[in-house]
Amino acid sequence: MDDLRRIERTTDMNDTKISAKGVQVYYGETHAIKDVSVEIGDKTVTAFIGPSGCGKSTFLRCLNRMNDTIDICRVQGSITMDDQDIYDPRVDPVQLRAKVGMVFQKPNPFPKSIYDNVAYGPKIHGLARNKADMDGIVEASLRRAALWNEVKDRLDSPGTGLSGGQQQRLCIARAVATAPEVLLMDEPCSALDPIATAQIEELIDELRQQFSVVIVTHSMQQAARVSQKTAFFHMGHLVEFNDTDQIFTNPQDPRTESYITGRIG
Amino acid sequence: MSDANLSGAVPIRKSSLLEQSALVRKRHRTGTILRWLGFSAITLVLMFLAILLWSIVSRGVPALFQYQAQIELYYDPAVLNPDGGDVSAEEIGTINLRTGFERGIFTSSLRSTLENAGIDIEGTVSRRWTAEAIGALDAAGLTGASAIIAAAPTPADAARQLGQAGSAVRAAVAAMDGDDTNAAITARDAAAQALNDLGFAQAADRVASIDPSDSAALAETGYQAALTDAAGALRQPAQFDDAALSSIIFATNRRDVRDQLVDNPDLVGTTEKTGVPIDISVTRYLSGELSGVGTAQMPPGFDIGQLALVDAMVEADLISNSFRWHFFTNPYSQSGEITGIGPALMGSAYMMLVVLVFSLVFGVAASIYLEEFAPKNRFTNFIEINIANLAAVPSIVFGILGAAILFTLMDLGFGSSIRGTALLGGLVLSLMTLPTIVIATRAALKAVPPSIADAALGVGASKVQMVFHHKLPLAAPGILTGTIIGIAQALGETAPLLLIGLSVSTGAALLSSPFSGGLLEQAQSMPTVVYLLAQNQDAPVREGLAQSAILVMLVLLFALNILAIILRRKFERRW
Repeated sequence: MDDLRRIERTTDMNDTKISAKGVQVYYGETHAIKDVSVEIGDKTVTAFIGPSGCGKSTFLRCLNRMNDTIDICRVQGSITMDDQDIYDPRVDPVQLRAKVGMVFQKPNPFPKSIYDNVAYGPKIHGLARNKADMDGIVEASLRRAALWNEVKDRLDSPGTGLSGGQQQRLCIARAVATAPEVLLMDEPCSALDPIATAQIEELIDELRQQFSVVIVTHSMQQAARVSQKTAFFHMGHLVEFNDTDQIFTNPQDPRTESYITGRIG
Repeated sequence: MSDANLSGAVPIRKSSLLEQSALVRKRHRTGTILRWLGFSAITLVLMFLAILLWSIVSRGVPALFQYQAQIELYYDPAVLNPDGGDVSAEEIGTINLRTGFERGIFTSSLRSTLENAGIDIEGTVSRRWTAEAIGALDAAGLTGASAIIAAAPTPADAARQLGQAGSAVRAAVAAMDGDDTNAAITARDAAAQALNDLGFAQAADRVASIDPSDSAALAETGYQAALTDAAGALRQPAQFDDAALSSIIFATNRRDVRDQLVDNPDLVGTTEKTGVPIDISVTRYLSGELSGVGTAQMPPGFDIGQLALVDAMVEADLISNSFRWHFFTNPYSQSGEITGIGPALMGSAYMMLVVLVFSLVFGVAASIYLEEFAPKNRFTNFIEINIANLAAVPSIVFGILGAAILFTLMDLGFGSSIRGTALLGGLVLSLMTLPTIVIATRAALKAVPPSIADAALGVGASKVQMVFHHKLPLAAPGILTGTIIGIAQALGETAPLLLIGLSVSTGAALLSSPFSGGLLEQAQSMPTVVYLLAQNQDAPVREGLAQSAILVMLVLLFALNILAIILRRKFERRW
């Protein structure tokens, strides 16, 4: 990593976008997230790492209230975005999810055309006044997801016909089309080959200009490559949260050290 | 780390890859047996299917064609307007169907048509019976009968003479059975004399030579039976009357013709060349199914004299075989000649419409609620289990439910208007179809990958939007299949409809045809009409037209399935 990027990193990391305090998550009787507090900065890539089943995905899904769709799931504690409690009864999760976009582990484009995939979010949120508006949003989103040049001639062909990496970038385009402020990514590269992974990682770094990005990943190398902040989860606990450099070069907790050196996980 | 070197694990055995071990052979054997069982099961099923289809098609298709007599139907003013003066529709409406229409119009029209075609009705009949009598006598060895019959002044005289000879032979047999030898000899000689008098010299000699105590020998000659049969046959032509003539064609209870004349009295006095259906029993003779020889091969209610007339009509080209178009428009009737499935087709179509609307709307709505929105608790569990159980409830139970509703409505004062309507039938069938659709829809909704729901929720779709924009379109092919299966099932359902008045046993009970009315008209349905046709008193209806109606139902089902496949293809999306 060159010095320029390091400087850029420190200068950008100032405002807190999402702040979680004392978050507990229960799946029925299971205590999945135990007292997690974390501050996610604006225009920053925050990586959640940890072994399987440690709760990092669960915690990520708390940030846009996707856990609401699971009946037995209960969330306690406070999560605020721009100092507004997202679990306030007055908050409509639909509005929240327009502001906090999400990209999933497996590329999951709708079985519709590429255009319709991207246009769906803006359409239901009423972001476009007319067809030209919508075309503009679709093009901008696809450009932002670095997919425009590859698909501009076949916007009417089905999204499911793209390659895995293209599908995932289409999902990113779909997520950014609703003009979110935060982008959650749940292991976005785990189903992709190394080349597609590299493209997505590059894209994540570019997306940081506009969004606060939270990425869950299994790959420590990926966390080191794309993130500025890293949180290490273990058995439902947030073990350590610090600058990525610090986590990987000078971990404070012995569990973190064991994990990043490959002794546990 | 790994326990690969742990002692006591399964020992490694050396064996050749080129020879099969006993276990592998056993596994292969099981596989082969299963494969053959499956194959033979499929073959058996296909065979039964082929037999079924063949039996339906081979009977149903010919039954769709009808023999018709081309008759110059003369609407005789002497019958229809005996008072003279202006023809009044009311007056025609009161004319007796039997004396007026059957005798006055149809029988006399048939008679004049035959005469115009050069057919001598009485001659044809009596020639045939004479031939029958001669045939009977010839078969018994009494040759030369034709000369005797020709010599007699009338056939009736010949019949009397032959009958007397037959009586003499019978008396001789009875006397020879007795102990009195003298009486036996006298009776035998009298019989021989009677035969000789008639001109059967050979037979007379044979009778005279029989031992007077041997009654069996005389009985064995068969003279008595032949003489009696011939006498009977010769008496027949005298009994050939208007009733015998008109029974060849469908002339009884022609309410339809009377109604036509009431509607259009101007027809009175005109002659119309028209096809009148041949009696349905005779059609089997015309199609060659019955040979007309012997009692078993005779159309029920007919004799050879009438068949001779039919033969003459065929020869004179008065009988045509044409497609039974009216089968698709006429209402059900006990008379096979004019019965049809028109209102039944319409009734079934209306009911399917009701089923489609009710069960699809309620079924899909219930499934979406249960699958996506309902809280998971004991109550919804209970409902789910009961919906599954409902699919297994015998259909007649739904009929009883429908009947119960009907009786309740009747008690409240508007039962009679809803009894036997397509609306009631459709509602009952909807109840029956509902569980099928609910189960299919829920399965289809469950089969939509959860990633699609995640994706939709992830971009901020509400739950309703997620369901209606994404899950439902993806579940549509499955829902459609379930719906078509349910509708096809409902189309073929008989039992519940029998209980709520959709099986009217006479055409007259059908108040008006659903062609003109709607959901609140008296209706018939396809399966109940098939049921009624299959119970008809005439074999050609039971074994022909019932199959035709089934064929129509099969075609409808086939069309429904094709539609399902086309719609599936159209809606199917891959993910």
